[in-house]
Amino acid sequence: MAISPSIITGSHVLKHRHGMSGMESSDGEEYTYQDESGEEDVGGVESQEEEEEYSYSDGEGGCAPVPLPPPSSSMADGCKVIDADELRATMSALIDDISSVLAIHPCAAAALLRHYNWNKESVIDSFCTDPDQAKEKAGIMRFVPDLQTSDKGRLCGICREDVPAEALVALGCGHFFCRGCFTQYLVSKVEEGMGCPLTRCPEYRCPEMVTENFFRVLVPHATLAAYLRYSLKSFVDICSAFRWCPGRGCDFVAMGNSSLRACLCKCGMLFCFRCGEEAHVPASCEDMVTWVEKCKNESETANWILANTRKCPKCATRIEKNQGCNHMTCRQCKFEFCWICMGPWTEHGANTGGYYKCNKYDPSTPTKDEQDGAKAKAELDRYLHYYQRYDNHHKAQEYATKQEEEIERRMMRLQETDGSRWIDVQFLKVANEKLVECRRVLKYTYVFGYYLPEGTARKRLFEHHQENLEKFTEHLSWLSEQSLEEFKKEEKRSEVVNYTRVTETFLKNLLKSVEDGLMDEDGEDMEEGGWEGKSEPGRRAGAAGGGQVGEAAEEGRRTLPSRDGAGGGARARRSGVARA
Amino acid sequence: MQKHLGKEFRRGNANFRVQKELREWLANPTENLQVAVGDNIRVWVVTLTGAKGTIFAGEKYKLKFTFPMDYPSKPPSVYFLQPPPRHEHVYTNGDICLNLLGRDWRPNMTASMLALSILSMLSSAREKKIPQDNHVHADNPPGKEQANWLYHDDRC
Repeated sequence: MAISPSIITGSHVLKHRHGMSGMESSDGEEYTYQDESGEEDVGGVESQEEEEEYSYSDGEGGCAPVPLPPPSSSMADGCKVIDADELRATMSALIDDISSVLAIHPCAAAALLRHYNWNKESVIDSFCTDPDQAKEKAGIMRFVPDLQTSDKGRLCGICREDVPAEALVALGCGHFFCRGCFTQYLVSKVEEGMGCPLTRCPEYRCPEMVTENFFRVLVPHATLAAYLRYSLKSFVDICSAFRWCPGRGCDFVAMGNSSLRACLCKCGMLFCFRCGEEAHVPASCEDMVTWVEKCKNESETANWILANTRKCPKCATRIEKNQGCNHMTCRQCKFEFCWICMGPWTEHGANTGGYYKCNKYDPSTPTKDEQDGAKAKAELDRYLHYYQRYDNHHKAQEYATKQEEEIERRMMRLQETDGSRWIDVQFLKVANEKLVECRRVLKYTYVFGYYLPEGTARKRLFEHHQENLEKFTEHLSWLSEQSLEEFKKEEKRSEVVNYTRVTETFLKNLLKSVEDGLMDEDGEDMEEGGWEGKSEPGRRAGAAGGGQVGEAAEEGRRTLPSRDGAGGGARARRSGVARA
Repeated sequence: MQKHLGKEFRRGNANFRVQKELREWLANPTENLQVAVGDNIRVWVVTLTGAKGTIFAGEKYKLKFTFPMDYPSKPPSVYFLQPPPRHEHVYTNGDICLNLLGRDWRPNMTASMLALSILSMLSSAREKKIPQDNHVHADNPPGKEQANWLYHDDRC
């Protein structure tokens, strides 16, 4: 296909806009769920200013808890993402500080800090109490800044040859080895990896540390670079105020504290600062550990039961789900069904009391072998119920993430076909980003839900939120997968825009409710008030256009617990009564 | 054995240092430690005889030494061939729990120092018993790098 000038223009704009669109634009580097305005700043007008606001200049430059903007909530504090250069500067600042306070060489200061786990206070305490002991422990008892030279030839303990004086070198401890052997030893230590910043003199039992200054004069350039990388890596691994971004091939580091639940990296990865895994709100780190362990143990059973393909409930053709939405249409027989429950899609609607009633586990579901319906089987069923939905959202999240490039192509094609501006087609990208986020959160709601006791009001409220988010997410997924022809219509576009916003509202409601301890007892009128019928996100909403969706958004906000203290108290009192 | 001693190796090559050690060992023979080398100069089998007056007196065990390419920056792999002695720091798969074989190895140490350390470890034992955590380790193949080992009493 020939490339028309308009495409080239498009791709140019794409590059220009790329970094400013989506989540990053609204929040700068800080990621927060408490952004009340909830407006997606598509144009990214403010992003420049916001980034500057967070520019970090800590005079102390330490690993001590980093001063951050006052936390808006325990769920998502501010978190500063820095690159290797800024990290190196932070580490050097700390070393220089110790170096000048204790009047020692920076390399000796680094060895001290490393020994005392980069804790400035313990270094100063120990050094002032007993400098010799501190130096001995850190392996800098006989530290010198430069290599020692010998006045006479000796036997090198490594190659076991007699070596002339000029070829011999030693650390401050005076154990001489030939330069070549010493270098080879250091290179081999760096090749070993992580432990290389703690390399000691080659002499048996000598505690003297080979500090950075010696690496600098002895090893080749590439090895030195590797040494410095390991040195930096161990610094981050030890300091609790830092966390490497777990994104694949990402070298950014987050600065924050362990109360942070979600931290957005510049590479787009959203991760939990506390455990370093993908951000898993609303599930806790502890839940995640037990869940992952459980999934590992159960994986064979689960895989056996949950094969990747399923049979069409009508014609039994094998179907592999390769699209994001759970609304399936069999190519063979055109039968429409729900991927989760395999029931006909027509039953998923207002007439069954909910468009998407597939998120609740009903313990009373009769099993095939009722007589051996032992506890173990029931437990496995329960687990599978949650695992299946967890896995389903996980795959949908991966799918949506992979879609990013395809979406950009779609956006360009849409621009070409009807001459829209780049900004006019952003809605597709924004919707997809919201989908990825919702899929991720939904995935972890099944971990959270699995550990939430059955039959409690809290669980009912949680499942209510989960169901809302799920049905809007599914519908948004379905909406944004429509053909480009559809998106030529203005009302189709605004429908996607509106659904993106509504879905976001439901997402916030869910997270807020979990954060508040699921204490909202307004659930009664939510469950019976029949608003689910009103906000039904089916094709009906599509037909009705934007007005209907706006109403749904209004409903979404209504479930948001009031923020004022009186309201909270009233809620708490009511919930107390409800339990009694 | 002689063919290994006759060859010329370049300095910096692991074989250079191994050959030197082999020469030194043969020049200073020890009654309790006999070395044998096959086709590969970097694989030694050392026959260890329990020292007089100890619980292993007169018993013969074989130690296998394998020198890596980056010897002596890295330690040799050393383990007992079957059957190994019953000792609280010797696993039934032949592995020896010794800090000098891992964390505390330094390049100016030699194979003969290691062999002597192992002999003295056997000599100081009061009773023949296998390591407490033997069941955890016994099924592993012996001679792997002791990179992340925790030594029971900081040395063995």
